[in-house]
Amino acid sequence: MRRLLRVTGLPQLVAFYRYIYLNQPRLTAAAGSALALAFAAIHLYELPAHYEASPAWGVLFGVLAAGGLVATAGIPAGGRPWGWELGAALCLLALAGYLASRAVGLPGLEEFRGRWDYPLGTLAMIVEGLFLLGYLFVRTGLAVAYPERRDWHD
Amino acid sequence: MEFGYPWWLRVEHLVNIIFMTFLIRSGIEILGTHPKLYWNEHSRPGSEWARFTRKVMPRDRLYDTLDEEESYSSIVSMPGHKNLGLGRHWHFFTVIGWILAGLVYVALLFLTGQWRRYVPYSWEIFPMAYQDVVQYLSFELPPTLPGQPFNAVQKLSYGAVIFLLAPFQILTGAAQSPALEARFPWFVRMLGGRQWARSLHFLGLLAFVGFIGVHVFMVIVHGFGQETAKMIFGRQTLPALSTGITLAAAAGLVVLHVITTRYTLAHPRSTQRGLGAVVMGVRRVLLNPLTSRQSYPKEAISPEHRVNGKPPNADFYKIMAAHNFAGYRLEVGGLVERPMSFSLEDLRTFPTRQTQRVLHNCVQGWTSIGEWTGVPLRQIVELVRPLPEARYMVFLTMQDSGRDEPSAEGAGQFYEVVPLEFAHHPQTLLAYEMNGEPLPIKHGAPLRLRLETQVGFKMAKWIERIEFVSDHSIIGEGMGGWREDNVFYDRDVGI
Repeated sequence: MRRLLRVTGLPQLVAFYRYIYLNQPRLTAAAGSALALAFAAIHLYELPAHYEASPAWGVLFGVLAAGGLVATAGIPAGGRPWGWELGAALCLLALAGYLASRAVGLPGLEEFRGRWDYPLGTLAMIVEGLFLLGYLFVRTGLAVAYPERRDWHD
Repeated sequence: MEFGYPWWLRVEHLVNIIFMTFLIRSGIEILGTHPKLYWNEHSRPGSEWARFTRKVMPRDRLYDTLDEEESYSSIVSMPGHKNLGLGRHWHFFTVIGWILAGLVYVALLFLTGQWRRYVPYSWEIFPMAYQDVVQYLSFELPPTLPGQPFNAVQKLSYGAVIFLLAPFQILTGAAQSPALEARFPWFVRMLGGRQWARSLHFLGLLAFVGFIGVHVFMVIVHGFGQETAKMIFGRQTLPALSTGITLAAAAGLVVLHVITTRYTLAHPRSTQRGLGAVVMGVRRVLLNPLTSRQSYPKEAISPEHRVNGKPPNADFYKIMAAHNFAGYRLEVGGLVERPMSFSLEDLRTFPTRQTQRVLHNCVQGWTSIGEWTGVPLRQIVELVRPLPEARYMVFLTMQDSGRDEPSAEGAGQFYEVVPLEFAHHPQTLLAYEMNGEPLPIKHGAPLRLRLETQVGFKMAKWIERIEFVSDHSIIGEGMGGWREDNVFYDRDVGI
């Protein structure tokens, strides 16, 4: 296995991420906030339909939407990256919930089981995936987000 | 009209894959030599918006930009392992092929009417593209446009790659040519500046890589065998066979890369000669005739000019520097009617004193703007009167690379060969001042060459002698300079 990995060059390819450092704090924070806002908007839009299915789901969607808005504001504001952490937690929760509702079904949302042909749901997965990728970039130091900044001299 | 997949379109697709993959890998090699990207012309240390290196430069001693080079694996770069010269040969060789193939492709598209497959001719395509996106998000495959081979999203995507992204890459790449920048400064300013062009070129690379990834993914989604059959047989037939042929071709492409990379690393000189013959021929026609017409405002001067190459570490040089180069003599000889010798004072009191504010382009990719003052080289040439057989000038310097650059890949006296025609360019200068001060030691004191249509390494520093020759093949390794001999750079470097 080790030999196979060496021949394919896969470890070098994966390790290449350690050579990448981005220094666009405002753009990174803006992208994170925009994704969190999109996340909030999608869940707000979905709130009435889910409230109809079950008030508990409606409340959860309200919490997700509100949390998304808090993360939107928190990303550029926080000294610690709590906005990113909140956003990542919400995205993980929403992503897991969506996949579970389509794959195995969830109480009160049985009608959604197997309904993968839902464009807004796919869009939400893309938004959540991109946010989690951004969070990974910020956590690993590959990118920095405002108000953090690089202190490079050369 | 019947669109189909004519044979020339399929051949172009294959050729394009080969060129693109070589361009991407060799482009990463070039990036690795100064693995930092800026949005400012000064390449100010620490101001980069992205870096692709783990190196941190020291604060307590002089380092030069050669110390900043990264050695990337051959998996991601061509040929890899800190080989800028060879990477440049591959990049420029393949870009010539890519552009020629692209021109033929576009010409055939318009001659055969096939352009309609990529160019939208109705605004209706945008709402249709929106519908297609919604269908993709629903995990459904949108139908093709009536009578056409693609759906609206595909048509817009392919059209954008062919008619927007490819020209964008060509323009941002060309904007990094010192010869073009020097002759048409407005062209570089139009793109935001030289470092903007470099950064945009990199973003274009990412766009191409992203497109290739999505394209391959969508081919799989649409049906790998069916889709690849179109590019092999020209129609949807024999999906199993076309799958096998495609996978074999992909393996062949990998083998081609492995063989060429290994050959390049094992035989750098023959690679340099072989690819260089093509690249140099094109440059001689397109770039060498261009002359510099730059004049940046005083406020554009960079606060800091990066250092490339370490000064002579010899007693004679240090003693001369301690006496403000009072004992310095520039010898000019070889194939000339009147060999001459000049002191620094002779040069400073020369009848013509020329000052120019220009963009300096390092071969590694960084730039800065400086003001240089000195004697136009053409005036020295007029004084010494070269013999008819003289074709090149050899600039011999006081730098001994083995002694002064212990980490350099080579030893011996640093020299560079420049075609005689460059001496007649209006902004070719023997500079003794920089930014209104005597030329600093780290930038070539007492005398350096300014050759504004070429990249920085041709502008020899610490010059001690200029020799006019008819042929440079017996000097050093015969490639036209120390860097050409030792690190396989190209001789005329207008890009």
